Amino acid sequence: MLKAGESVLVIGSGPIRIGQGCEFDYSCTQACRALKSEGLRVLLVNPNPATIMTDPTTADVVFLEPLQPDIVTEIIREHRPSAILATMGGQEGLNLALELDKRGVLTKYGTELLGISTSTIEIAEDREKFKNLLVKQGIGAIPGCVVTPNDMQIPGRLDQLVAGMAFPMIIRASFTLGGGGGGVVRTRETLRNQLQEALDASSGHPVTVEQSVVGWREFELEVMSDEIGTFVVVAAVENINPMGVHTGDSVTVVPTFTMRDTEFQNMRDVAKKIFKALKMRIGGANIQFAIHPATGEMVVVEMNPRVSRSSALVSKATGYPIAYISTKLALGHRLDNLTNEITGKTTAAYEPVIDYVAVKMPRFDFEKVSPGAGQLGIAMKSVGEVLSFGSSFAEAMTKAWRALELGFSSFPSFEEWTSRLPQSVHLGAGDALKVANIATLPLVKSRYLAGSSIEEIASETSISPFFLRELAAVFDAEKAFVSSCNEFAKGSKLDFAAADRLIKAGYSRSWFARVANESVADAVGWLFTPQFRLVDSCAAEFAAKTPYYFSTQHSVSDENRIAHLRKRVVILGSGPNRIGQGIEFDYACVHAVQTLKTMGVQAIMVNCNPETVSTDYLEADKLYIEPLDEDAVLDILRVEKPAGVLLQFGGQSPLKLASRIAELGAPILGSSLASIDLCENRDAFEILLRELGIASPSSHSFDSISAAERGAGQRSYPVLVRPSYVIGGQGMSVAHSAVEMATALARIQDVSPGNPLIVQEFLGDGVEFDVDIVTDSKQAVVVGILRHLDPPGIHSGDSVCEWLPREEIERDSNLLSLMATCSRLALNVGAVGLINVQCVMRDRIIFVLEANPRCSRTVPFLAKIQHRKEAFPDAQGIIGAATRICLGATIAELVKEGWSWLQETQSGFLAENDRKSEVGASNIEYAFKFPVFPYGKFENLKVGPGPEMHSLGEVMGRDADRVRAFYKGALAAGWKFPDLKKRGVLDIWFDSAESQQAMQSILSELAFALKSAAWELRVVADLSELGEAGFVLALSYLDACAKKPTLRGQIAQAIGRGVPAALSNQSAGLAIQAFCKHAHDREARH
Amino acid sequence: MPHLPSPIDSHPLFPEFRSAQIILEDGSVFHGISPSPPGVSAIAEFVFNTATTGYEEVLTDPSYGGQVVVFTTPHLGTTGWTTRETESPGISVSGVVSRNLSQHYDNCLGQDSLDAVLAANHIPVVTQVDTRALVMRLRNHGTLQGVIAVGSSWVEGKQPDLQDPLVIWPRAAASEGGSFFGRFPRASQTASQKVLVIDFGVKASILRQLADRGADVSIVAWDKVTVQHVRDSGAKGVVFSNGPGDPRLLLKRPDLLEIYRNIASLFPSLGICFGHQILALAHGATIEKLVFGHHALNHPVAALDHREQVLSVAITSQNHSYAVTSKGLPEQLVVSHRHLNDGTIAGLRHRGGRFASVQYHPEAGPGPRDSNSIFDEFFARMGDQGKC
Repeated sequence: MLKAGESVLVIGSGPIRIGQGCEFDYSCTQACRALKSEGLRVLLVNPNPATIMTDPTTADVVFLEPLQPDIVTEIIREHRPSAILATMGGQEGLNLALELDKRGVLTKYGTELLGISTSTIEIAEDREKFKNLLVKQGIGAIPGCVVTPNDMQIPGRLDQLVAGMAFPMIIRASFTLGGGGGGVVRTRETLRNQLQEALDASSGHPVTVEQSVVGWREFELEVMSDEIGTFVVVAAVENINPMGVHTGDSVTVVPTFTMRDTEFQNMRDVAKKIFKALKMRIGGANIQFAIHPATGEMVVVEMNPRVSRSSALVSKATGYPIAYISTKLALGHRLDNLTNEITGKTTAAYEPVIDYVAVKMPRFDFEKVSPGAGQLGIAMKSVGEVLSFGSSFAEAMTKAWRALELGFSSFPSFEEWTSRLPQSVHLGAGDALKVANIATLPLVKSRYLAGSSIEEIASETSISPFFLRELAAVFDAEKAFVSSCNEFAKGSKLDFAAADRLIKAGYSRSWFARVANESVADAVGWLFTPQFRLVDSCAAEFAAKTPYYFSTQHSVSDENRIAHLRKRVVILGSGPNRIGQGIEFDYACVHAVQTLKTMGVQAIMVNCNPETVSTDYLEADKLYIEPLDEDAVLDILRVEKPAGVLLQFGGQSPLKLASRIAELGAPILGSSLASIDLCENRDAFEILLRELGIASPSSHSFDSISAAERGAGQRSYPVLVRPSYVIGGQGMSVAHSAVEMATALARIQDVSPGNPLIVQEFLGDGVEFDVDIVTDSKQAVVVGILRHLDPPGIHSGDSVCEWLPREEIERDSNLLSLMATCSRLALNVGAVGLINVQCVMRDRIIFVLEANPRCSRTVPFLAKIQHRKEAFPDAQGIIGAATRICLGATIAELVKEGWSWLQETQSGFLAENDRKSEVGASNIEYAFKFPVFPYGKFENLKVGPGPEMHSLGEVMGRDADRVRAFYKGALAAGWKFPDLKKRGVLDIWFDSAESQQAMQSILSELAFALKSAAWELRVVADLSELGEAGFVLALSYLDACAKKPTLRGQIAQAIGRGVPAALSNQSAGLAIQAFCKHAHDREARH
Repeated sequence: MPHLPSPIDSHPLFPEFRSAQIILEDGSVFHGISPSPPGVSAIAEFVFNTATTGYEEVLTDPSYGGQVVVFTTPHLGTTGWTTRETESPGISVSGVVSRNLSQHYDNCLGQDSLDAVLAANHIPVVTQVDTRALVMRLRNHGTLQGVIAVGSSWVEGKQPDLQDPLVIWPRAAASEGGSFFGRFPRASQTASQKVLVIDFGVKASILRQLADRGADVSIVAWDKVTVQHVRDSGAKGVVFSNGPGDPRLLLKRPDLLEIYRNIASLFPSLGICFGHQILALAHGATIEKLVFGHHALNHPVAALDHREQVLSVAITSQNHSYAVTSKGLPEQLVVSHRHLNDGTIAGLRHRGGRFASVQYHPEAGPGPRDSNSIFDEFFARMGDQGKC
């Protein structure tokens, strides 16, 4: 066992991507806490700044560095950790550990892997080896074979390998994330091509071809084991979508419904056998099984010897903290010596049982990136997920729909589902029900109501008739109630029995008001009896201590303990991860919670995203896992009667509830409803700007598409076209001409007087800035400015941004006036707490685009820079200050308390703490924020970087050297730089001859730098000619795209392959220098 | 003659059901709905079971005789009913309480729906019950007696005499030679050892475990067995089975306890659950009633070395309301296993090596099979005896 004081390196998971969401922030944060509780020193490497794990209070030493073997080797060499914990950072962490082992780094520096051996990883992650192991143990495995790149060369070899296997078959790539590179092969004709693609994605590793078990029932076990062989199944999870849909894209449910005890125990025995055979004694794993619905035949699909998305989900669904416990086990503790934190007295050596139903539902968002993204397969496509609880399957299901933040208050039909999407989605050719897609469940409802039988639907979807019948009962009740509403209007009685069923199935009051009217909703009001129940891990066998709740309409009594004697504040979270609203807001919520706790205020968290740290039931003083819709939130506020509600940390969604919360009489802490409205209401906001003498792009709003079309001919272009209420720029586009305007308008559907269309002057040749401000309404302090390297017209969330060091701001009068303008605006909006202002500077004129009276996506990034510069307690950071101000403190008071950075910034600067000790410019630090795009997951892209946001995650590159900071950011974001160990050609593509001309001089520098590594440059004329090493330089990206619309998709495709792409002069210059740096680094090492 | 619900019995929001109440002896009332005929449908002890799978095994486990089982799993009956996985020919429980009772199911082995089987067996059922509240009541106040009352016009029924072992173990007494147990290979050609099971309400899974290890199993009722009987049977070992109720009732039959003690001194013996308590009782231990018992598939049990240090931990299937008292345990008995949550005795061993017994269910059915090796150890002891 490691001794106190020894250090452990925790490997994080990098940026948020599809298949790797915030769940690893949760697991790594838990791991850090477990390590620290043993007195160990925690080193942590992860370039994702928007994570709690990279906070100085979570780990002792944080390296916001790319997860590259070279860089991590350097950290190990310098800091000599006794051990490495690689099972918490997802596939990324595990792969990195394997690579370090392969390079001999672990042996060289005498550092051990905690809780797992590389041989175990090798077998579990290598499909062939794993399958051999199963066969040797007599465990059911899927018939299949392994194909190596070599097999593809030998004529006839492929036919020989797949002889005896039937189509469809499934190709699975090795060592990839979220099933990337795999797919279903339906015919012999496409087998070879699809195999080649998978082999390419696996970078030389063999891939597996298996007979399809598509349509079988899918189950997962989350298991743990300790050094004396105690073995527990934390939960068995049933996938409602059958095999063939990636489990990350499936709706899943705990407990299982269609599995008998004997089947479950067989699985449990097999899991134990696999552990034994892998010599995997300590730690946790996720094992997937498939069961043939008619024969009961069971096969093992795969195993992940690490914590996973499922383990985060199961931890939240049952209350059993898998990451924390498995870290403790890895350190040599035993399950029977660890305590179940929920009960506080029973042991962790048990298998949780639950008396409620937990449903996980995926949130999709990329249907707008790729038309084909509506279809589901074995590669994961969802970007986030929600967790919901209920006393019945139906209640948990409907609450999950409500939690998705798509505006549902019931279980939607296909028609209701499509009406909520910004644009049409292709669900595949032919009968949409037969193809697994993102609308399967809404289609089930529509098909059932149109008269299809359960048997028909079950055979088309391979969804268990059990689930279908449970849902059908809800659909029947809905139909009965709606028809009784029609009769009600004529004086008949409402169908209260049906209403009761719907309410018990999770339908909210809003649904009744919407489907009928307020008086009907009032009439059934007496049937709503929300009661709160504890998530207790033991079905009430023991008393639960942790205040972790969900609501249900089934109970007659309540376990909610209201802390009447304490001051209580409710924090609304940000819901499921999606484009534009992700981990950044969870980071902010967690910091708000931490601040409230230091103030002695009871911090009550409401959220439904199971991946996050905010839904760790040990984080807040009290946690509700509930949809963030009006009905659920108001139910909580009615019982808690808090001193106030914090809306500004959970992103855009909590702001939508502001008016209803105000109506209820619950005080909104921070910016008032009036301030929020002022920022959201375009007209009012523009009047304010005019009064303040602040420029803004001229804009017009239209209540209908036709109104917008009428003026299109006379308008001056370019313009930005967008609906008014959107997250992540949904439906936004830039039009350079009347023709493009028509195209843009055709894409926008949902325009109404309530949601007008905005047509705005487009400032394409300006420079965009993100300015974040803390204000108490009397004083405003700019906490950071980010300058966009990419041109306006690329969504601010998708732009490479540079943090502006104070020295640069001080030198530049334009930047000083930018700060003054934004501060003035913040004060005049009446914001309290945080406010983010987006502006463009063109010809020294500052145009304000929008102001968001809330925490922004960039605040965590700024907080990380601040952490580096300031050595202050965590709660005194930017979000800490905003929280205190929301609760009534003034900046002046905080300064008096010793929040020195606020004082120094009174002059308008983000200050350094120990200014005197800093001499000259040597302490200047540079930081870049890089977006991470999911383009690699999709084919035939028609869209690319533009006004609509596409990135899911971000990374930080930081260094005292500006180019190196950029280089690190690029590396962490997945830019593939040439592999200088071998010789090669770097293919460069320019969007125009002018661009090439502009870069000529520094390109020759790059050519020179690469020469020593025997690499040469080649300029290619077409994007399709880019070879293995490529470099896209689109200096006039927007104009180029305007001329050739297909360019966007092609560039996106290149970005998806990891090709470095610079979309402006500024980033091109830095990118070329980064390539030079890359070449020099290699030289320096030799 | 099926009872047709009168309009007044019909539940206003669930017209096809009747309203039903659970009335516990402490006066608390829990409401639900019932598909059962009106009237008092059960007068029994209420226990809760936290298993999420394995309800068929639970419902047919004779140890649940005389009890109403409150299932905490949110949906009961989702895999239907199959006679392949039952523990005895009939349904043992006196009543069933659930949160949601499924009228449909999905599993390839399902032959019928659970609600149909319960109705056919006239087992009173209450569903749509706030089981969390009911369990908390049982947890805080301990196991309670109560009634299930269905409809509006129920009448008080006759309370059975719970002190009469013959009332509690009727099925056990009738089990000898019954056709149900005849299904197991009691004298297969490979059978190497004769094993006698003393039946207090034995579960089929115990017989399966024995038969799987090649035993030629015969069964004798708990009140019919004698030492001579065991000798005559040619048994190399004896299993004291599980069963329902309070083992202390047998203190009224010292003659039987003496027979049990003698058998355990002459033949390698294994006690399971009730059998474990009986063996302890026969050797002078005392038995205590637990507050709400252990009825679950997830309970941790530690195997201990002679210094009571943990050797290993198993997740076990448990179903008992009584336990052997630790305090004043007779010198000749050694604690071999302990329950990790409350420290109660989970296994005993006779110092002279005559018998070993466990409070939990190593045969699983339902539950984890972590402890199947208890049977291997029993067979090893029988083998050793043969060598002497």
